[in-house]
Amino acid sequence: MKMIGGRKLFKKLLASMTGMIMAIGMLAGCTDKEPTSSNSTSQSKDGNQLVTITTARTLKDDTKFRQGEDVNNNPVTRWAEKELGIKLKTLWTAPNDEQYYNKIRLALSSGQELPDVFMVSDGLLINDLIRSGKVMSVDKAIEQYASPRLKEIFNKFPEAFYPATVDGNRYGIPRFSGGNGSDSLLWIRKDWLDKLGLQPPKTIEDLEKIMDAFVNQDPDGNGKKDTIGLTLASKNGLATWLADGSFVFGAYGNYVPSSWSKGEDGSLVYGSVQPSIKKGLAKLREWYEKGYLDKEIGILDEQTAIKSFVAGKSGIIAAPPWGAGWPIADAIKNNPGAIVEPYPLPSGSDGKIGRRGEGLTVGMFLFNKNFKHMDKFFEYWDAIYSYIFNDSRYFKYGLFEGYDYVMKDGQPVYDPNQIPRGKIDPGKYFLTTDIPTVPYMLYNLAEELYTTKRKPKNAYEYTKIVSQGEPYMKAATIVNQQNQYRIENEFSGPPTKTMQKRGEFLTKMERETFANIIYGRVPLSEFDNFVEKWEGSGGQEITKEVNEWYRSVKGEK
Amino acid sequence: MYHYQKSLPYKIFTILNYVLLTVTAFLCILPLIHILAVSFSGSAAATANLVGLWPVDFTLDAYEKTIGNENFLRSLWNSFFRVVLGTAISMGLMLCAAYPLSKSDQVFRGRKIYMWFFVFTMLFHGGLVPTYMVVTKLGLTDTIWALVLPSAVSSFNLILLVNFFRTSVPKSLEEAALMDGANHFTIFLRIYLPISVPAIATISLFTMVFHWNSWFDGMIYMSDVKHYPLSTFLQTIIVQQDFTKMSVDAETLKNLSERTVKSAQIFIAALPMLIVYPFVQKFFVKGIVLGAEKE
Amino acid sequence: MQTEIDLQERIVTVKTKKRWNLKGSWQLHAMLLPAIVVVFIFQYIPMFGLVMAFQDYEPWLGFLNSSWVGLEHFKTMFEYEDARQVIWNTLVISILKIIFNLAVPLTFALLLNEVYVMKFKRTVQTIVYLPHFLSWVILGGILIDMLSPEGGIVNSILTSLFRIEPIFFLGDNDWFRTVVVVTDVWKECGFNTIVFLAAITSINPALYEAAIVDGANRWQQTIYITLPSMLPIIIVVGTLSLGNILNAGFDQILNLYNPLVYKTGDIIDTYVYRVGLLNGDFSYATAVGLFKSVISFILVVTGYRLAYKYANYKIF
Repeated sequence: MKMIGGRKLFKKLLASMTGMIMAIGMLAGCTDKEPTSSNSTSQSKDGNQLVTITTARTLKDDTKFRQGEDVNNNPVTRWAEKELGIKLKTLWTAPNDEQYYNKIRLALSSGQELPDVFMVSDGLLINDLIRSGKVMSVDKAIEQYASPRLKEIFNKFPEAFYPATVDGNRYGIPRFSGGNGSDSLLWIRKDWLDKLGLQPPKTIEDLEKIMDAFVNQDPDGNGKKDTIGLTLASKNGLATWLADGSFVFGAYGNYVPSSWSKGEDGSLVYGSVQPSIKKGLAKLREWYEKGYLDKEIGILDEQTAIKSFVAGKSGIIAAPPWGAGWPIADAIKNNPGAIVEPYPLPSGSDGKIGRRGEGLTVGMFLFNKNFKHMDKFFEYWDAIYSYIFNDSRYFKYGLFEGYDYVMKDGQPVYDPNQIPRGKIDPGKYFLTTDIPTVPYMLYNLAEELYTTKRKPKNAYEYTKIVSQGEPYMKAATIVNQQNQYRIENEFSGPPTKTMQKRGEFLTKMERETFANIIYGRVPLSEFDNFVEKWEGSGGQEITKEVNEWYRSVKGEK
Repeated sequence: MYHYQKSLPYKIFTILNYVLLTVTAFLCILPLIHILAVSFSGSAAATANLVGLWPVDFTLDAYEKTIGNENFLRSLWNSFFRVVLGTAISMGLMLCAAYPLSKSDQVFRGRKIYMWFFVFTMLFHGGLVPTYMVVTKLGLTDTIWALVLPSAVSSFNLILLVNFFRTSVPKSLEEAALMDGANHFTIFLRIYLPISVPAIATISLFTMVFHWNSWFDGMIYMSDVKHYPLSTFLQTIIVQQDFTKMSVDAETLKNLSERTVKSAQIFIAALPMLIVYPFVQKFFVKGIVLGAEKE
Repeated sequence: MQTEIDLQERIVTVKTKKRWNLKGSWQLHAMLLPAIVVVFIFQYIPMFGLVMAFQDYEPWLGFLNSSWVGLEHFKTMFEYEDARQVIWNTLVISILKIIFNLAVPLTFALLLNEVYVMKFKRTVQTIVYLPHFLSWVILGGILIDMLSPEGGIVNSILTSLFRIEPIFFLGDNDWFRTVVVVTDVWKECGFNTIVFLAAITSINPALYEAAIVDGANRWQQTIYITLPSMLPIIIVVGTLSLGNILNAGFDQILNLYNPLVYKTGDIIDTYVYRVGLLNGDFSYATAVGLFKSVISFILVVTGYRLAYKYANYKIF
């Protein structure tokens, strides 16, 4: 921490004390300071124009640096400066998303200058930033500067722009997610199945038989009735990213709780109030009563729910493919002899299958309205995308030699143990805070690598897929093959007017009702009362507003 | 020994009393033992919640990782710096203010107004945004001053000091000094401060604990993780993150499962206070004075 | 003897008054100045932000240009369907906390006072203060484990002692408030214990000696001497805690509650927090905060007056 000199500070205190100028200045509303040195161009050593782009980002604990390097001095910044003539300057960092958004919001609220480029995923904050007029529309810039292949991706996933679309103008560039990266499948204790002579489940009915056996036939052989069938998290909603319960609802209809998806007439409807949800809740209620679920399910969030599975007290968990590394690996470590295998999601009585589909974007990159170098930005963007398209001028075998790979005898080696001073992922130094992605690409690749058994072509394929192990690749293949069952939340805009007013109450009511139904504290018919109350207490208006939003971002009148 | 202490009922009471107090003390130390046990356990066992009050799969991994974490060590240093500077400034300001406020209303006209000026801030706060604006406008962001100045005067601690001065400084001493022609500054330095060791030690500890534990200001005023004090740093790893809007990759998740490392860090973070506390504690009973008989 | 001291003090006061009024009072003002400056800048100037409570504050417009909405936000608060429930929960939890945070430390201090092995006394005193150093984020996680109906240590003990079904403490509306109050007392009782111990040690020993001569046993001494002597300090602590009557403990509840216990556990602060997550609205949170401050302020001022008038006690 740097210290300002005592005298300077004293003067400052004195000045503010006597004049109270500040208070007046504050009331007058945010007197802006001079923009922080953005848009400056300077000469680089070899005479080329050097463009400075400022940013702010999260810097998580898993982003490691080599000795002497940091967020403003690393292979990526050096590469950008040398090859692209871009000086990337990170003005500030925050260690996690929550703190990052807090700081952006504070900067906006107190009239601070925003960085040139920064990512936001919170819909409301994006909307506030757009309405403040401090960020600019990117329509023209995409038209002028984006490379053809970037345009192609952008056109392929138009809905990825919806979170930052206002009045038909696009204000942000999406930071794509893996598409189906956090979609779930079933992980089941294969050793338990074998021990009890059971087959993997094809239907919910099969699943019930298995759960029953897991609960009543002592699969862990300790002579105690202390095992459960299925690990679910419910504190933050039943459709979620780990210990996910959405497949139970997906087996009975095209809706999952807390999610806006297309109804029969093509307009968006709220999942939680659809009749099929009642069927799913009825199942969960029955399962809870029979002891298939964790007694504490009501208070378990994603990260506390998994402990039953990790401790070897539960036989099934719905988790994404990356679950192979955590928590599945921990479960195997804790329970010698445990075998956990990935399986496709089971179907309901009429053959229906459905799962919560992850959104297409992780966040939107927004641009300060004074930012002048969109051309440079897109040059950078295309350059880092070239890596995953495998045609990069800069990154043939990997990103940076000595970081994610080394050359030995003219061949790239990816094994972390062979890299001097260990392996470090320089992809985290990119503006995207990770190697950029295109939706569905990762699991498509994984499926290809898993089914063809071909060798990885670059450090990306090795690190992100092959080195994750066989179970991961198998799971990714299964998830990819069930892509048609995705039920995505299609509402990605900011909370609507009525949502801001009534949303808290409606969500609270929903969580409370669902929890009480599962615990059998209220009759199942309470669901109907909930639906009625939901409609009457603002739900109808919200549905109307959501559809207005939907039409507007799609460009319909 | 008084005779009632020899009576049988009192003896029975004494035994029960000791048992009860021991049990209570045990209950209070339980969570710390648990944290300690987890920090020495294998990470898989910790995730499965198999650790009670004794480590499972004993290992020093978590501590090796913690010590090896540059950010952790740097934030530890930042916190030490903050505690020392912050406590010094707070105590300086509050002691100086407590002296005049401890005078009677007759001796110091306007005492009441000053007192309410401070008490008012115990209950009314401007809130996050305006405070943030003031700190940024003064150019204090990213400096240690943003952490130590805004919270420098705690009204509650000030009240404790005022009450201590009021009840514990013999008026006769003061009067004698006055006869010798001493002014307020001399009386404050020569008489009040030396007598007030218990109060100074106690309130210093409160202030230290406050600075050691505050995390929110560090988060909003520091622009670089390198400048984070320890508690801010800890907050980022303890609070569970919402992955619904995040791309998840294996490495991040592996870090997540390190409950043992978190525990080790929590324990190391609590350690300095646990060490200082017993030494200061003997002053507590004398140092905390709440309220005084009306003059 | 008492009157003699009083008299002396009065003489001193009169004398000092005479002397210091003449020359010294600028020094007193000067000593206050630094603290006043700091408090003014960092506490009072930000209070201009309270105008937000009467505005639809739009960050980019600032305080001058945001539109005024009058008491709209305050109205919203009371029109909220669950406002009654939330305020009721807050009051019940905080009042229970105030009572037990007085009663338990008081009992504890009295019990500790009967301990004559100094080392033991000091050790216990040290240990009960320890939970105070841990934050609710940390304790929350540990408590959830400890109170679990499946293998949690508390339920294990209860079931083996009383042969009852495990209790789902954190998911049961009949238990949740109890858990909140008990764990809060457990975490924070150390401080008040020390305050009360200090009061006990300052009781004039002559009073006890006289009682012993009269044949009073220890229980009677406690009832007739210790407790009455401590009454003023109990009033002071109580008055100061009145300032928290609308704070039922945000951090604690946030880390312990869940949809199953919204009915008994949802408080004003957690409600405002959830609203804030949805609309990022500083105005509404400011309005609720201001409302709480005003109520607390009225209570504390009343308490101060009453303590001064009836208990002859001066809090500050």
